[in-house]
Amino acid sequence: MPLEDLGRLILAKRNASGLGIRAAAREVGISHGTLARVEKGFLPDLENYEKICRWLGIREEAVPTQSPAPNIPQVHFRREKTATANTAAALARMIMAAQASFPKDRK
Amino acid sequence: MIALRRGFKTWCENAARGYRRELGLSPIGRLDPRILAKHLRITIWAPAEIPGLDPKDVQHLTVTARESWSAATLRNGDASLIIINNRHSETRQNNSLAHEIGHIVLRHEPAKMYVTPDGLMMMSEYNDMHEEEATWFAGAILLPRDALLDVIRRGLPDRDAADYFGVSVAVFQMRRNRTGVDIQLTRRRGTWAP
Repeated sequence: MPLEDLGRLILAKRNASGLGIRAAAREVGISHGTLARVEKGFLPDLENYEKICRWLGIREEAVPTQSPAPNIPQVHFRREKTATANTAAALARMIMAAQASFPKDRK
Repeated sequence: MIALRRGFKTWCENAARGYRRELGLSPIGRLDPRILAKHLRITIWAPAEIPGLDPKDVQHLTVTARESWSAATLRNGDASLIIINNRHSETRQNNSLAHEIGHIVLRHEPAKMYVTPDGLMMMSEYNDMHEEEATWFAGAILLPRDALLDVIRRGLPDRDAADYFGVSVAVFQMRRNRTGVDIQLTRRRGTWAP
C-alpha cells in the first residue's frame, strides 16, 4: 500500500466512527492541522506516522516499511511538518545528493 | 511556549558578544550569518550548487515548493553543511542560516532521514525543544540585547533597525517583545509600573 493511502484510511475510519478531525486528532495524539494535512495526502514525519498507524490499527509493516538509506543521513530540517509526495521525494534526492558530495574531510 | 534551560538565554547573549569579538565587529554591530558560518567552517550550498541534483528537483524545491522548506543541515563527522533555500528573501535566509548554525553550535542531535521504497523522505522526529533553542539562538545572534537597547534608545524606527540588522520587522519586534528591553528602558526612566 502506498504511503499516500494513509489519508484515505484516516477518512474511512473517521467516517465509520463519526469522528470530527479534532476529535480524531486528540485520539491519535497529534495536532488537528497535521492530521488534516495527512488526510489530504501530505506525508507526516516518522513519529506522527507511527501514531497514525497505531490509531488505525495497522501494523507498521503493513505499510511499506522505511528502508534506511545506505548511510543514514543525519539532518536538521527547517520545513513544514508535512509534505506532498513530490516534495518529500525531491527533498530526499536533495539530501542524498548533498550527502554524496559532502565527504567528512570537507571542512 | 516551551521553557528554555536555565541560563540558556544568557549563554546566547554571551555567544553573540563572543562571535562579534572574534570577527572584529562591534558588540552592537550587524552580524552576517554567512560570515559567521565561514568563521565556524560551515559550508553553505543552495540547491543548484549540489552536485548531481537533477535540475527538475532544483526547480521543484526552489519554485513549486519553495514555501515548504527553509534550510537543512547535514552532519558528517565534524563537518557541517547547510543547504539554504535561496529563493527566500535575504532576511528570511539570514534567520534560517542563524537558526541552523544554532543547531550546530548547540550540538543538537540531528534527526535521522529515511527514504521509503517509494523514494519519499521521512524524518525520524521533530524535536520541539531543539527548534525553540535554535530559534532563540538565531534571534540573539542577529539581534543581541545590547544592540536592541542601542537602537531603541536612539529612537530608530523598527523598519530601519530591522533593515540594518538584516532581519524582518516581525523578527525585530519578536525580539523586542520577548527580551523585555522596552520594560528595562522604561524602568530606567522611572515610569514603569507593574
